[in-house]
Amino acid sequence: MSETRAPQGDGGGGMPGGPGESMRLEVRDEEQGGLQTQEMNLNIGPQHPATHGVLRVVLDLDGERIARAEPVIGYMHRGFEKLAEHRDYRQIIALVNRHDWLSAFCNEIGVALAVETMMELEVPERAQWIRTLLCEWNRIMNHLMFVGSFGLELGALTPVFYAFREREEIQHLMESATGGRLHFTFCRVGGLKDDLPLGFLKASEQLVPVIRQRVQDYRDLLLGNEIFQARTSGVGKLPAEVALDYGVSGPALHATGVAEDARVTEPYAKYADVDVRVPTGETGDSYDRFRVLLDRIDASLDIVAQCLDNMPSGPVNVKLPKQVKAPEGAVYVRTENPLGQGGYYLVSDGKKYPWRLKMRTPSFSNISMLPYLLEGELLPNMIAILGSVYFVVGDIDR
Amino acid sequence: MESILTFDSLGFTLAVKLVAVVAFFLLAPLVVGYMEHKVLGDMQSRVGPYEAGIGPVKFGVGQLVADGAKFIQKEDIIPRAADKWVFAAAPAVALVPTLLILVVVPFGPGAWAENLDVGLFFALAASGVTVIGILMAGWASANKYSLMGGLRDAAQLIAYELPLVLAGAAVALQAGSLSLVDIVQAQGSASLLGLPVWFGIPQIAGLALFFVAAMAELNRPPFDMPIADSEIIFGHMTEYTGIRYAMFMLSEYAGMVVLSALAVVLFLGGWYIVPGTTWPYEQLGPAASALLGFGVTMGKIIILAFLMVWARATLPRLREDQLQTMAWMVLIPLALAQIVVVGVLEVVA
Amino acid sequence: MTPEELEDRFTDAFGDQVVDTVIAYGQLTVTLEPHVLVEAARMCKQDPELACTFFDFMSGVDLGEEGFAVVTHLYSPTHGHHVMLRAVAPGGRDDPRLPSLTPVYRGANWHEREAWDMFGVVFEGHPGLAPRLLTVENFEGWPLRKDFKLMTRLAKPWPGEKEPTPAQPAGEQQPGQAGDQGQEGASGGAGPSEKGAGADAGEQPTGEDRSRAASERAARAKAKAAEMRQRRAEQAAAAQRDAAGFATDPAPESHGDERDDGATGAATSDSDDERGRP
Repeated sequence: MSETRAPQGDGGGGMPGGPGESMRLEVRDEEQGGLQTQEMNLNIGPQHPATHGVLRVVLDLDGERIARAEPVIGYMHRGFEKLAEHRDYRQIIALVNRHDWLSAFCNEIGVALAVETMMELEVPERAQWIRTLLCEWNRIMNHLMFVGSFGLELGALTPVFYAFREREEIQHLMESATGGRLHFTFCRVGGLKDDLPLGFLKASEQLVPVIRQRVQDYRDLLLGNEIFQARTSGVGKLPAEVALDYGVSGPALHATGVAEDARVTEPYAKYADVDVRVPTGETGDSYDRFRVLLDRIDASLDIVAQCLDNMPSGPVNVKLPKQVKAPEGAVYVRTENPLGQGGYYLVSDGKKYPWRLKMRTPSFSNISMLPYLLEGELLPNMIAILGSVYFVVGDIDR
Repeated sequence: MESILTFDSLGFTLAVKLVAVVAFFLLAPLVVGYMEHKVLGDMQSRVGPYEAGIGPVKFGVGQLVADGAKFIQKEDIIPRAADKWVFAAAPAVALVPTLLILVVVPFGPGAWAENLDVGLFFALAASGVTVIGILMAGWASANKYSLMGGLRDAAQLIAYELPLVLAGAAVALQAGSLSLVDIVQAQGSASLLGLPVWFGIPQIAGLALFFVAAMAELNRPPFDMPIADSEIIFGHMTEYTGIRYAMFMLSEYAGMVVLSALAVVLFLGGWYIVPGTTWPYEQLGPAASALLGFGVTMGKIIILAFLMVWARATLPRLREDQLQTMAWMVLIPLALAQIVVVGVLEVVA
Repeated sequence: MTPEELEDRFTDAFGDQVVDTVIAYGQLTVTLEPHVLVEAARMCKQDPELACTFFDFMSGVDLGEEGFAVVTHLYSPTHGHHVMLRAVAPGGRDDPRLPSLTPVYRGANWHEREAWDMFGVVFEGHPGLAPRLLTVENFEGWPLRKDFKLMTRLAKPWPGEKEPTPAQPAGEQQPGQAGDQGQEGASGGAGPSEKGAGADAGEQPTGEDRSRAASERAARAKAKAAEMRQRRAEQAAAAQRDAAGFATDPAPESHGDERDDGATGAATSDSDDERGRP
């Protein structure tokens, strides 16, 4: 981020030389005696349709080609980590499902796991299976959202309506179990808030083939479309070593061919007992990222089916002491969240509040890689890249 | 053949023609817009407008009227940094050419306002003026997104005006006239290898590229880069509100009607129902045949407009450079080849 | 590699530059002298046996008087092992400085900016820590330091704090206490003036005082229960008369959202509603 860049008040407002314009001019003389050109400074965001949230990307444009790109974040910083230091562990669960509002349950489970690891709690079998099941439903819901929005950003109006139709069905399912539509707050340290309601497993079983069929529809509608292919293949190619260097994870990393997935390498909940397929791509371009995203829905449906087959009966919670206190020390727990690797670094001083809770969020690392991908790209390609890196602004800013 | 709107008094004739053209200009986009609402809704598994109605007729038929009323009520904002007069005039400049084209489009036997000898030339020339309005809007808005949208639109129009004109030229060559009425009447007796056809069959390539170029010129998806919302907000329309914004929207939908009408007239036999025959227009009186012809032409226009809506529901957006490549590398050579083929056929026949 | 093997690698390579190693929950944390941090990170990344190519995260931790530690978590996707590098920034609380890892890991860029933004740890060699990454550009202070008070906790104590807790040692942050003091006097008016008082035990009541105060409050609450109902009605009427509403009862007005927040928490006692009322 160059410090000389004068901030501009309005999104795209202001013409070169217009009144009240404070623009950094960089006049270049064309060597062959051609026209003088200057780069245009353009703010994409904080309010812009492509950033779905309040992300701002400051661009220096040469025509439609991006000379420099710098994401500016923090518009949604809500100080979760500070707040977490003032809440006890049970309350934190209601806090952490808010930063990435599309993967609420997957975030809850991370904190619960960290505390359980430190307290060496044994979580009941059924609770673990239910956690796995709900995690995967949540993951599918999250991915459907991005399937729809990516199409929308590329100008295909229809997929987003279909995606929301499917999302709504899963949403009903989650609502029946947790009572919430967005922030489930269903996970507890040592288990779950409640058992599943009657009919949940049956409804899940019926929904799996329906969603599987419709995922195939998306493949036909988007992946098979020539314009979609022309817009995405070869766009925003990310080499695997760069992705790792930046800490990129989730679909964006898998698309580069690295099948690093915490569910496989360090299984939590019941992922060790189910067959987790990690779809990967080859070139790491936008097309691969989207294909991986769709395949991940399929893989998650497989896991859901396995959870339904193996669901044991039994309690879903353990009796906790009146005050949940993690012993002194530090632990790091990582989970594979829908958008990538979620990390929870918990430092405890043995009191009822955590001393420090660092949330490693996938979107933060993924977005930090953006300048690498955007430089030299065309403006329309920026949309194809932004839409396929899959981020939630709350997850970047926390 | 005289227009049925011709009367003894010149003033009265003028008045009637003016009213007829303006009324069509205002009403036909409503029909197309309503069709788009419902078709898009259906394709996207939702209902679309449902409650707004005109009188007892519901099903959302009044939605666009209500929208228009809303636009009129809205505040007309002109940004402080904008070039006021240019900003204010731009929507009119974008809108008027569409109105002008309607003057020469024949909708049925006698159902036209004016039969110009150079009707085709006039129509295609007028359609090119729209871009000036869009450039004016893009520049005068004092907004970078608007400017980029305006420039994209200009580049797009230059690329697509050419195939449009070349496709039209091939038709004029086959019909032997630039008058749109003559072109339709020539299709009443046109044939290919002894089979009765409209010009759209021998010139299928011309029809296809005329249609594609028309969509590109109208900024309809998948060629809506100049107003791509996810990239440059709404292009040249970003800063517009209220009635001026509505005028841009009207020019888009009127453009759909007008360019579909031109495609129908040039390639799809105008008001004729069956290729190779002018039945049943001989058996009917002038008023009845004009009315029937109008209905048939409108039906064909709606079908073409439906195709445009279908494309919008199905296809993602192309990239600006991909569009340009397509225009210069595919469509223009194709159009030139079409002219050569038609020319040779005309000479041989 | 197992954590033990990794531990050996670090002690072999850096000898007495390794300040401390901890293996807890199967995870290795290596505390190093700051000046070998970059070298250690480079070894982690480039040594084929370590191959920690995945830069996971970096985070500051407040150590109290000692200053700040920065932990860097690295992971090897090929071998599947974790390394947590830890260094205590020299310079104490006043001028914490550490070498930047950006030459080794590109991903360190934003994480170091965040650590600077949150803790004020300066990373030497970083291409540009400013402007602030997550907080607003003209933000003052380092929000995740323990001496940075959460403003809402100063104005209104967190309800969860009120259940009887054993006495806690001085120097520990007690978010509720400052608020408790404020309650007796100016009903929610206490605010910025309390800032920085947390580290000073002398100004705060002890844990016993607080628990006694809490039980007294509970007793008073029962006695007042009926009275309160009437008073609320009066207050509502007063608020109607006074359009601004601030003159009669400022505290519930300005901190209503915190109260809602507390309701989702575990411990909300009956007397809670009466706090901040005259």
